[in-house]
Amino acid sequence: MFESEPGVPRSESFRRSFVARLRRVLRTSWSTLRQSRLGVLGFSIVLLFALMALLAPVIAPYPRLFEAPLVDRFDIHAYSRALPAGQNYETPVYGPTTPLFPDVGGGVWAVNWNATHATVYMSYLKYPQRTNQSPFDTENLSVQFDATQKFGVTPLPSPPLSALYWLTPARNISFETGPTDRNGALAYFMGRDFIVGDPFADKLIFHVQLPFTPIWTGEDPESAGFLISQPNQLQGPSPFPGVPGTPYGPYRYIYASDGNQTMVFEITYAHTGDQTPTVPASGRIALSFNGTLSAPPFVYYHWGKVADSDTSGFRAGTGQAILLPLANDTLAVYNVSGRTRAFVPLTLFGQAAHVVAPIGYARSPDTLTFFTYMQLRSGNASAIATFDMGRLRIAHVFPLPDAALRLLQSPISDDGTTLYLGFANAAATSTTMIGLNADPAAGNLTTVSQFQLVIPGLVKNYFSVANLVSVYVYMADNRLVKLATTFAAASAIVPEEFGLAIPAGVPAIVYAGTTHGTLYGVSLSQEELNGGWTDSATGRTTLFTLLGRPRVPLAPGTYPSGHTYLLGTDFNGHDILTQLLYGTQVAFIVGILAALFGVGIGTFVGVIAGYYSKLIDTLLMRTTDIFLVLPFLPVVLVLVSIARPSIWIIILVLSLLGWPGIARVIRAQVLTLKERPFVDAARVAGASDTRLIFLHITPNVLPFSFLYMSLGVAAAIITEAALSYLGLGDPNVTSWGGMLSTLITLGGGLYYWWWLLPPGLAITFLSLGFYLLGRGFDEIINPRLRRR
Amino acid sequence: MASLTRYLIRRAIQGVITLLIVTVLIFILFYFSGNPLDGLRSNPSIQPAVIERLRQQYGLDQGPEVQLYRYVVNMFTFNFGWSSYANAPVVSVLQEALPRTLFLFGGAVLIEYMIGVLVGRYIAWKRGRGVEGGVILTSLFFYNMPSFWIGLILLFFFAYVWTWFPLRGFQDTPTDSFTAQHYPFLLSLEGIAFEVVLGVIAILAGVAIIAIAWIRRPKRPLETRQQVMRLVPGAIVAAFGAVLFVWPFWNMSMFDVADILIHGALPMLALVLISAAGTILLMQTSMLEVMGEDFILTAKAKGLSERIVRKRHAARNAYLPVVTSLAISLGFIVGGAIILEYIFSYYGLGSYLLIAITSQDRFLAGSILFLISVLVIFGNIVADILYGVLDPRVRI
Repeated sequence: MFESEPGVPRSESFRRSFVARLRRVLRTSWSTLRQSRLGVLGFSIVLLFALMALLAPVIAPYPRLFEAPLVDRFDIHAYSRALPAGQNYETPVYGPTTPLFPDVGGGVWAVNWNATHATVYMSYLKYPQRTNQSPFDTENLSVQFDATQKFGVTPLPSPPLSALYWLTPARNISFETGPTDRNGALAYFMGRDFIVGDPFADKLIFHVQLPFTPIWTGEDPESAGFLISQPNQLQGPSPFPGVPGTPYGPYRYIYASDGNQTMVFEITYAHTGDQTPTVPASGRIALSFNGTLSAPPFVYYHWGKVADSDTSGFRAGTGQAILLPLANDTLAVYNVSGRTRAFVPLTLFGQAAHVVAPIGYARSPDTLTFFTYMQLRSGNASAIATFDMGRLRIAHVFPLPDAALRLLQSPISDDGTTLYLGFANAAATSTTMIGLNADPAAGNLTTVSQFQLVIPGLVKNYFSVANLVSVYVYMADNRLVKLATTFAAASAIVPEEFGLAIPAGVPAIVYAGTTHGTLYGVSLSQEELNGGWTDSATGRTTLFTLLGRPRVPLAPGTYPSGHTYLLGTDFNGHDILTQLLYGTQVAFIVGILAALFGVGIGTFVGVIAGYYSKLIDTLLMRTTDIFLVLPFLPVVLVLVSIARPSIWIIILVLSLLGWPGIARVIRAQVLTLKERPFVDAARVAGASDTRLIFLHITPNVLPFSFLYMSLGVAAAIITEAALSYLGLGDPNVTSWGGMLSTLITLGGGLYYWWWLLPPGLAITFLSLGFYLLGRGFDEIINPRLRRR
Repeated sequence: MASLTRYLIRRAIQGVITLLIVTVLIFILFYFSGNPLDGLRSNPSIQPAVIERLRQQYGLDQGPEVQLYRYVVNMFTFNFGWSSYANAPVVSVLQEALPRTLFLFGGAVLIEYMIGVLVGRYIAWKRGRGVEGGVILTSLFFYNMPSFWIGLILLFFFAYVWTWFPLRGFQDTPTDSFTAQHYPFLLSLEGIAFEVVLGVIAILAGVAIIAIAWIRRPKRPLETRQQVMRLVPGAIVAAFGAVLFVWPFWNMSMFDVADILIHGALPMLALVLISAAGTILLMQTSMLEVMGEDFILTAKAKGLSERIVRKRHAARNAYLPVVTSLAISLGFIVGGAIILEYIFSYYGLGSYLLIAITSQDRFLAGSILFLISVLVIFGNIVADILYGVLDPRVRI
């Protein structure tokens, strides 16, 4: 049908007959294609992939940017132990024993307590060397007691137990830290009684009856385990050469307040079994204050920054303070000795302001002065203020976007320079998380860009772990999510589902730190960074690893979160099958477009070069040579550096790569065809050059054109894969080559067969399909190839 | 023949002009990809005076035309400069890398050409049987595989699952001695020099060639020029063989040769798998085109045996597109599978090109690109000449 026909009708009937001819061509094509087994095979393969491409959003098991949840990606262990049932338990308190030194190997006590019966259950947690053993079982150690009777307090205190605090062990003057397990003290409020005792030595340290029932109670962060460095007893000046100075401390502070009356207690306590009790464990009232407070008090004491300047026994200096936020827009600052330091009027934007939320501080080891952070509100404005404890004034203010926001927890920085804060809105229907760069040296506050998130519902609690660069938020609907605190530029923060099933009755999830060290101290491995909770309903206390060992890439199968990954995942937790399906779309677009442009240009140039005179031929062929010789890698690199890598650049490059090869072959064919008798006959009959080219030469050259078209699609798909593999592809696009690229660059390409095989097989089969399709069409057009 | 010489000269001149244009284009590419001294500027321990001196030394303080002129002149006089990546003259890097790549690709091209032509010829002749479909499907499957993926798969199976071949490298190093560990019996070849074996093979081949030439001598004595023309293909083959297979192994023992063969086996296999498939398909298509011609029918009608018709009449005419593509691929020998060399850590020209580009080593990258251009243009000229020689219908 494409062999030379003398004359083409020029009349309007041309158009009508053109449609008829087209239909005829298609029908003949299909019937001929059917005869070619390879053609049908190719057509069905291409059809299959085309369906995959079209239906990808529907049949893909997961959304395009899905990442497997943390429980799947990491080997997160959860261990639990049953507490006596039938009681309600409060949020556990985790207290470390001997912190900081990796080879000393301390432990952490999980202290669970029941308010109504005032019973306390302590379990010792020691992180095991073998990961299958529960930290509860490594050293089966526990202590249980009735808090009313334990320390022989008279008159007998009566439940309920309203608050419980742990006092971490400290070093005494001889640098001893005491035993690695049975070490520590507890302080608790029962009714109006405040009791401090050592449950291991069975010794009462301090007892006092308050004149009021406390509403707000709290502990200084160092004693709770938020350590900068382990507390030490301090030595006073030596009175006589050769005679050691008097030891002082270490002091721990606990406050209680009902809003109008406040008492701050000072407990002197080193560690259990202090063999040289030069300073016996004791307690005293540091401060007793009458005045209305607008927010809970805040006490901090760091032994390294205190001085004995007023001979108060190391109760002065910049490393200590008692802060009382008064309702009359003043901040009362006291030394822990009880002496007044200052009454600072608080102002915000010129207006008097008061503190409306718990105060916190940044406790970086390099801080020369302490800065505390508080939320101030004045009439219609609200802000987070940095309070310089050295100069006793507000240093810097970060205005909050909404004055009605209320800070939920005391802002204590885990790494000393960044605060992660959660605010509840006025209606308590949502929580806003904001990150602030709290630079203690400069005293200013700037937002951590992108760390700004509004979470529906009021979160129950949150904590940040600097070692894991994350903030863990326990949401209102009982889900734990992880927010990364480092991000690539311009990407939004995305909470990652933890995937642990948390029972409904858990009010808060506590950071249990490392079992080898302090709550915020040195950890030996990420598996020691744990969180914990106690479920009131079932009476089980659970400890879980916040990170665990990475399991990614995941082999095909089902994983703890319940998800099934039929082809496994890659390093980032992306499901391979999903990526494969979405990659089909890219492959089709790029392949077809690139081949179309390439073959079009190539055929045109080849025909012109072959047909016309030497000069044009030479010019075109040398241009072809230049393009053939031009190394595509640097061209692509330079293009990519000029413009952002995108799909269109890839298509452009692929067409530029493809056309010279086709041009050469077409030209060679035309050179031969030009000498054929039928061309001579047509020329003799008076055919013009154009007619000869379009009607006689081109149709006979088309077999190779079509062949190269299908080869071109195949080659385009492969080259695109190679370019993506080299990292030059469009990063926003899921392509098969990109999958293989990530496989190689992130290492271990040879071990993950579920990641290695599918993209390559997909590329191979799709190219194969197009090639076979081309062969099928080749047989239609070139009757010599047909089956006789 | 005179026209052939004239054509040759003309093509050579055109080739030089093309090379010139390509060199200019390469220079433009590098010029726009940034200042090579930027990396040094950010290093605080390098004084500005040193940077200034380097600028003058490399001529970067002069205008682009001067730089272009100097670059072109340097390239054409093979003055390639100093490689900052390898801390050695570029020529020494090329001397090390070029023979490796030539060996790999030369060997692969030869093997695949032979396989491709023989198989393609056979299956085109045996049209319609199951063999044709099976072979075509298999070769299509391999043809459509991405080259880097084939490399990875081969590595996965043959170097990881079954450790028959090494995971990386060109030859054993003191730290990474695969052959010595896995094939210790080869160590006994340590003492035999390659030149000795080469000499023995050369003598044997020489004897065989003389014997065959004597047996197959033409019935009529030929003119001197015709005799010379008969020797030309052999000479060309010998020249190529020397470059591809003797140069890489010069000054080595037989153990090293075996070692290099083992290390190069997987990359070569990958290349052969991909390109043999293409050659088979091309040969088959070409054969089918030719088989439809009338003269084949005539030959069969004359009563010639099938083998002769296939080999001497059909195949000879079907070689043309294959030869063209082969000649072009000779040019791509060095630039070709950069990625494949990179995957196998086979430090040949392509691998060095990639490394040079990513480590901003301008001189090495530019020199390798120039070398690739030279070889590709050369290959194209050869392709044109071959086509002109083989197909008398083409008037050149």
